[in-house]
Amino acid sequence: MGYWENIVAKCKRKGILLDTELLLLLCVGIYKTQLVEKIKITNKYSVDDFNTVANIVAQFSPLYVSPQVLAEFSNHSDRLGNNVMREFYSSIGKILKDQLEVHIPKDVIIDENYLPVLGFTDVSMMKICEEKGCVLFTADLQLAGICNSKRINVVNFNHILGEKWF
Amino acid sequence: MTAKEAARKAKGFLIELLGGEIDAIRLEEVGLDEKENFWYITLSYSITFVSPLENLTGMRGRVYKKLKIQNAPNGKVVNMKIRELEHTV
Repeated sequence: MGYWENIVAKCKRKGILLDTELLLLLCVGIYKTQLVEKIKITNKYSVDDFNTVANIVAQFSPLYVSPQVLAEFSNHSDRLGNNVMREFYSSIGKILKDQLEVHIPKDVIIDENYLPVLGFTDVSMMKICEEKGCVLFTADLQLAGICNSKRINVVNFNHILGEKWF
Repeated sequence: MTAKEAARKAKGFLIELLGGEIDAIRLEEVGLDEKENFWYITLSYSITFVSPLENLTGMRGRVYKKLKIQNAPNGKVVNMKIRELEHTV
């Protein structure tokens, strides 16, 4: 069994947590698929990449989120502009409501040795995955590397893209 | 140039440069600098030559390289640097 199949088998009932970048890609794609390649917050990805993320997320339940990820998500989605925001949030409202929000106390985050390297948001995600045994789905190499070294279930989305592209 | 094209360009460059010395190339990181109009692609690979120490310990690390590529049709690789990471396995 390959790494990916192993993660799916091990974590499909334990759930998945998406980093901000992939959550934005998923939500923008759900809102208007054609927008993915046009707007700055997602335009390094393609519609095909959005479909890949959506198919991966569909294999896991529940979907977790941290308040720090939602704050970053909100900051980035602000760039969509006021007119679009109302429509955007109403179309992705269900996805956001279905996510299980987990709060990691700030003192736990502050005591983490990797805080200076990763920052609050990444540490919050790492701690949730450690606590829940769910898989962290990220496009951040540094975060994926540290999670791997701590034996936290993690998938670097770029590995999946590379397998498709190379 | 799309991310896929930039990643393929980076892989082709690496193979042309290092050829048979490297193995198991993996895409690790994709970044787009729209201001300067460059793609940043990080690839990792293992080295086919195994040193006696690696043979003894069974430990073989991966090498991480970050390539800067012009975001243009047939964009060229401008440079390649070691991608320093705090912790990798």
